[in-house]
Amino acid sequence: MELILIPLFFAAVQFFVKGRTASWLALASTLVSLGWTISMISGYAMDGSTVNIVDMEWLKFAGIRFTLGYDGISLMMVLLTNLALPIIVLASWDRNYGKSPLYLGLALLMQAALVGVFLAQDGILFYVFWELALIPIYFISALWGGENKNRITLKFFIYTFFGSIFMLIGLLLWKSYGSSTNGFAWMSLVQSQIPSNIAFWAFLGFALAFAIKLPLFPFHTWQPDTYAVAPAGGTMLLSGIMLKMGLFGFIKWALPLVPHVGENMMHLLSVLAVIGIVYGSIIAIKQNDMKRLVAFSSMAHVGLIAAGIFTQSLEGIQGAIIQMLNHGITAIGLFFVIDVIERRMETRELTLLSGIAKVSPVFAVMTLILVMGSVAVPLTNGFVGEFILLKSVFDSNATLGVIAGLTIIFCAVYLLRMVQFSLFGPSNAQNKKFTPLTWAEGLGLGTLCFFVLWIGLNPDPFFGLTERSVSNLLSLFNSIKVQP
Amino acid sequence: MIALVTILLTAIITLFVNLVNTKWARPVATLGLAVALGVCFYDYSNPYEDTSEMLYFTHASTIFSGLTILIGLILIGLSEYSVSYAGKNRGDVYALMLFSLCGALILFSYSNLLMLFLGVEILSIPLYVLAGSDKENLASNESSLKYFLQGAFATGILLFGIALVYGASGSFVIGGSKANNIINYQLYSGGGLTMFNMGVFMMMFGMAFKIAAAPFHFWSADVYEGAPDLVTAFMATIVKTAGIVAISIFLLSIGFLNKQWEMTFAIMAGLSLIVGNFSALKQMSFKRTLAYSSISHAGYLMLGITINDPIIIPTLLFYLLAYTLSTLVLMIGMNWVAGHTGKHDFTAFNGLAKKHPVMAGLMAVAMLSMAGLPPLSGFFGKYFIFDEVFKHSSMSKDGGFWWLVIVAAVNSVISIYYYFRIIIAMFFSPAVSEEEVPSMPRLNMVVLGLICLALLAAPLFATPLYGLMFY
Repeated sequence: MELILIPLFFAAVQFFVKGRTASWLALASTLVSLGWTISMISGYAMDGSTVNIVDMEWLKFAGIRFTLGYDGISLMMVLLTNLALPIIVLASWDRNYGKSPLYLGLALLMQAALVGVFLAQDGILFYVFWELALIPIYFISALWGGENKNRITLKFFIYTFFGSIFMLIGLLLWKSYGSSTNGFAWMSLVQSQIPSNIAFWAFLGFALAFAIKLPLFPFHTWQPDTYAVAPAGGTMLLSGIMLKMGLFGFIKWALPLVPHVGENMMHLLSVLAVIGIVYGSIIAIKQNDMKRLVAFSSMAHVGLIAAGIFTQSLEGIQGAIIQMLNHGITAIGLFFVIDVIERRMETRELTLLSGIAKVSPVFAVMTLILVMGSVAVPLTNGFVGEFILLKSVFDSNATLGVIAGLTIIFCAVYLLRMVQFSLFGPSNAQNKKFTPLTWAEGLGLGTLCFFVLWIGLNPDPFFGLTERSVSNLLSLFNSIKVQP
Repeated sequence: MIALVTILLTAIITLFVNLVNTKWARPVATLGLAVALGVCFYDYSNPYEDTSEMLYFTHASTIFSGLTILIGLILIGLSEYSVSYAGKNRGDVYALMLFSLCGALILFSYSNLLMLFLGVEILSIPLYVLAGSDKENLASNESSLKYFLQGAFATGILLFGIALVYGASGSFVIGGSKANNIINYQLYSGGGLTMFNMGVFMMMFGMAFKIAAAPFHFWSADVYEGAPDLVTAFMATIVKTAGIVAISIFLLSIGFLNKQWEMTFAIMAGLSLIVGNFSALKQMSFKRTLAYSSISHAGYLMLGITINDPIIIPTLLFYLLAYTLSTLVLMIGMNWVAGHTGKHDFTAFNGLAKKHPVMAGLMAVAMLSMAGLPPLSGFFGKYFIFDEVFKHSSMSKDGGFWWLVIVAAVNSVISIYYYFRIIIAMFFSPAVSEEEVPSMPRLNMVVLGLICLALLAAPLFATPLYGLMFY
């Protein structure tokens, strides 16, 4: 509960301050949240149980309760959110909007909504937080966005809202077969006796909402434009945390329907995910705008994570969860790097950049670590996640596994191309504009690099956090009785 | 009951006070409404059934009365600027609004079809005058004439319908606890049932005109646009509420006698949603957009009524609460901006957030609530309606109207496009208008702020609110 109230409180406080004070307050708030999360994790028994934080009557006549609770998976997502937020505040530190109380307030509101999504144990509560997260990011992207922002952000908003409304209808369908008094509680939904033809439509609603959020091919058309047009902080929120809402939604809210729907649906979704991997990678290779390049690469990576979830195996989901954390770290890192370059060189076109490594070797090293993490070089975090994901996909369907494996090769191609063009090569005259990193940038990038290496070298604590929860979840799903 | 009398007296007193000194009209009208609002609490604990089978003041009708009186209080209390077009005649404008409000109160509590007709007339006739009360403005005159010609026609059809229903059943009484209720009567054999159905359909169409449901909506955009902002706000909130409640009382109380109207009504609901939303997409004027959006909101409300079960009434209340309160914020904000820039277009709002961030923020909250985004009440209003229709649909043999929920859901996505145009204009567009918009009076800001707070907080208190209706 505090995890939602702290950001909300500090978001409200932002109304009364301005300038640097606002940034410091926001940083303090996010650090307090992070500390709170860590203490919550250390207090968690790691036994896969669900701990309820609050459980109150809310809208009794409609079967809605205000229930927040967590298990290992939720804790992992909350950790990602609260780890990312301080970095996002640091990343905006030297930008004009980083001093704007409105921007910081919206980012904190977003944090509260995201944490709510990961903790909600009631369908409607989940939906409310899910939509609430959309409003601040829309305002952030449209207020501080680049060219054509009105059209692009409105498309983003309507597209995602379109998906969500079908999730709401899916929830309504699903609930009408659950317990009558407290129908939207997650447990009651999971145990509902929904006939399979109705479950099919409900699942379709959920899948549409989550697929648009990820985005899964062919629902991705909003993504590259929105990532490119949003300010760096907004892009980080979108790619680092917000798309994890979709993945998390698949694990927790869509998989319980799969036994009713049948495996065919999962095969279809896996194929879409793998198409997304190849499609995103190939387009990323041709991009000259660094932000669009990373946007498409993110589509490829998320495709692999989604494919892992669709295997419904312990390995696949474990890999997906750790890779969600990893992808959050590396995507935020890469967008951070791009923003550092863009602010100094006033461009993010690869063809206009060259030889930055000669001017700022420290920056180049940190960029390389993040790139290696994204390419999944052994001993970095990406390797840990992608290896398990690929293994699980391969085990469930060898052909798809082989095609999905291309992601590592493709990823090396486009990211190394980006590094080669921007960091290496002869130093050009523009590079004297490349001033040394400020403390905020150094601290933010340094922390991200630390996590890349830490998870790469010692992933066990992270796996341990979620392992029992995932196996409990899977055995619960396997025990679901299907209505003929 | 006493609230109704209070408002009537206030209206007459306001008229005379206006003759003495125009300045006193607004305080007197405001005070009268505040007293009426207080009296509602007394009325609520003393339900009153008229012995001559005309009016039945139930808990539900008192709560609806309270809601409309509150809206009237806000509208008139904050009308210092919005009524300035009327000059010395502002007392007349207030008095007409109060008379019209009396009609609304009768429509919440009628238990006799004659009172329904009287209520509709008392509601409408002052409105015809009000729509044209900006006497020197051609658009206002046109609005009045259009409204009157079509409105009079619709009332005629309603009256004809009442006559047919009476002819078939021999009674005017609906609702209430009396034995001579229409539903207790045997219809005359022979043509009785056909006659009764004809009557029900004509009454339904006549009232659909009042709530501007498609395909009887053609008057609404022009009338809303031409009428003074204050009157438009009155029509979009109080008149809409009165019409919806009146139609739901009638249809739900004869519901089990005659089910033929369900499908027609559902189609009208779907049409209203589609026509309202699609016509709103390409409008240049914000006021016209609100007019079309109010057609689509009538569609959502009618969707609720299709379940043909009085259990929907509290849900309608919640939806109306969310809809009317957010409309109030938008209308009052629009009146202020349009009054100072001289136009109602979207472009008049360009860059408003830079100059008046609080006002723009409040309007944005109201807009998000209208669009149905959680956690604002607008979302819960829609959601409760969807939920009820789904529940009913899963229980009924013929499948109910679940498909209409899909239509409504898709429409609520489409509506985002035009609702967000005003947000885009206020927040993300550079200012173009030269006219300086001064900041709103503090009182208005505080009231609008409280309304937005209520929009945020209402979902938290929905359970007790529902409890009040049934108590």
